[in-house]
Amino acid sequence: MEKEYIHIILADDDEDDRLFFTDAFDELKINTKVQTFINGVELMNYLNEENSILPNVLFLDLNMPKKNGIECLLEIKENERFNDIAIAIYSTSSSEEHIEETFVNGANIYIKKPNDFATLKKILSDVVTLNWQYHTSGLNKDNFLLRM
Amino acid sequence: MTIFKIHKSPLFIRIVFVLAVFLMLLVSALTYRHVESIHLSSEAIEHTYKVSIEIEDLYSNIKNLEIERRNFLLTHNEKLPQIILASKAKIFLNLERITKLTEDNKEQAKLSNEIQNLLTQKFKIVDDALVRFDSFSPTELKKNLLEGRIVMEKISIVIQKMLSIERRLLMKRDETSNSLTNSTPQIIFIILFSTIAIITLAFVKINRDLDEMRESKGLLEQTQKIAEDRNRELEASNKELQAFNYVASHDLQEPLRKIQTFISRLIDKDLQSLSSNGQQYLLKIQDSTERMRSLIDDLLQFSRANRSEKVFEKTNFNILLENSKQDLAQVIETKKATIISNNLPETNAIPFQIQQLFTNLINNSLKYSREDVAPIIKIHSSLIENNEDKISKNEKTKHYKITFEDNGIGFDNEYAEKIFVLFNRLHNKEEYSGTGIGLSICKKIVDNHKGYIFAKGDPDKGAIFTIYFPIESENDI
Repeated sequence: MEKEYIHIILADDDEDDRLFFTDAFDELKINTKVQTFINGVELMNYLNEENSILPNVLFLDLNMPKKNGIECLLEIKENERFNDIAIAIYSTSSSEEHIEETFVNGANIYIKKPNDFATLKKILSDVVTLNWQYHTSGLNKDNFLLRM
Repeated sequence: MTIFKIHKSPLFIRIVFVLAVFLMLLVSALTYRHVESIHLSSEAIEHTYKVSIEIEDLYSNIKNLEIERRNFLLTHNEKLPQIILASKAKIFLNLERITKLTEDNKEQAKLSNEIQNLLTQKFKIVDDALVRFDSFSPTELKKNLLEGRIVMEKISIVIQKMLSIERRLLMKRDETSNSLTNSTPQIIFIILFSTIAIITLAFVKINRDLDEMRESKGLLEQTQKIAEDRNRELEASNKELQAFNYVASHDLQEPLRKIQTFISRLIDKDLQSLSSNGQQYLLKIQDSTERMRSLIDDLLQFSRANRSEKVFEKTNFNILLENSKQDLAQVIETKKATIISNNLPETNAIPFQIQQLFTNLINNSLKYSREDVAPIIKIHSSLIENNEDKISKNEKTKHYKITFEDNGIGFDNEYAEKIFVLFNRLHNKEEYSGTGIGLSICKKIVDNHKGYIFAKGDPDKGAIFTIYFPIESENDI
């Protein structure tokens, strides 16, 4: 039976950002189920559980204690079980190094956290409704960084 | 001081060296001559002795002969003729030797000739005596004896003369030899002194030179160390500043973002429930945070342009231009702007910086456009060969010249250089937003690429920004 909703997970250590995120999805008209984790360790523990429901889209913050975004990215990419998860990097930084590193290690898209709520809603809406196969077929750094 | 300068020149040293060698050779030659003279002198003395001895020997033999003749005449001893013959032979030998020895002395030669003649006479008398001795009458005997004695006396006189000549020669030669010997210590002293003098001078000069070199080396090392220390200090301080700049801008972004997002949520949800003052204040807060964000973004950009690790790679400027246009897509659409460009070069550059450069320039043209006039931005690239625009000092440098021309509000050319100064603005924030950092970033980026950027403004007509990129190697074209 096909899922009717899109399953989304966010890993972010910042309480406010998690709040914005869930509120944004609450206000969007898309059918979504949103889970949040406060750091990389909690995230990986959940994903590695046998019966866990894997997300369609995973939003990864880069700067987290205990296990950061890059480490999670590497672990996820190593496990074939997670091949169908679209990974969106969701970070405050827009430095060349971070963009480069996450692109090279297999992230699907890079999002810089916006400054206002309306923009956030638009971004999230665009990202989760993206046709991922079409988007990632040309592995191209130009498409990688989400431009608004 | 000039004399010292001459002392230092390498040519001077070479001349001195040649002179020293020459002096040593001269001294050696003189010494050799002196030794030779001593040698010759002693040989001469030896010669005199030889001659004297030979003459004495001759005289002795002649005297013996005379005694044997008289003896024979008296005793008629049969053994004597043989002995007389032997004596004659000896005398012949003596004469031969004396003739040879006195070849060099005219006087002696003459005298030895005389002796020879006298001896011939003597031998005649002797032979006479030998042959006719038993037929001699008493008068003949007396005559023979007398003649013999007369010749003998003559011979004696000549012999004495010869001997005295040799004695005189001997005295003279002795004198010469003595004077030579006496002057030898003086000569030795001269040699010793000159050698020691030359060596001492050389030593003193070398020592002085070495001391000078050591001093210079010490000074050089000191200066180097000071330069190194200062360099290290500057590097450390620079690194600190860069780190501070970057971290400050970066870390300030986080709380600012929160402020902005929460304010935007507040405005979205609860603006209506505030009083009209409250609403106004909230909107002003939002404006301020927007300006703050702008400032932090620009500072971050500036610190990125400043970073020391600058990686050059082959970059297609056309692609970067497209990226910039995409970044500014919204503003371009809102202002209905047109951007026209010809084919931009592909060359060695730092991609993210060039993109920043384009974005900043285009952004400026869009921002400072004329009211009610749609901005038209023309970007044109050309190749400048042989330094036609007189940009660099090197005649051979080639450049890419890229111009950004717009039809905006322009500016007074008086400020053409000032606008690149950090935080410098030509308008206040109510007229046009801005931080005064954008063009400084542009200039820093162009500097990083060892290029040049110039601005030209025409108030109410527009502005042109010209950038020159030097082409490093032939591979670029």
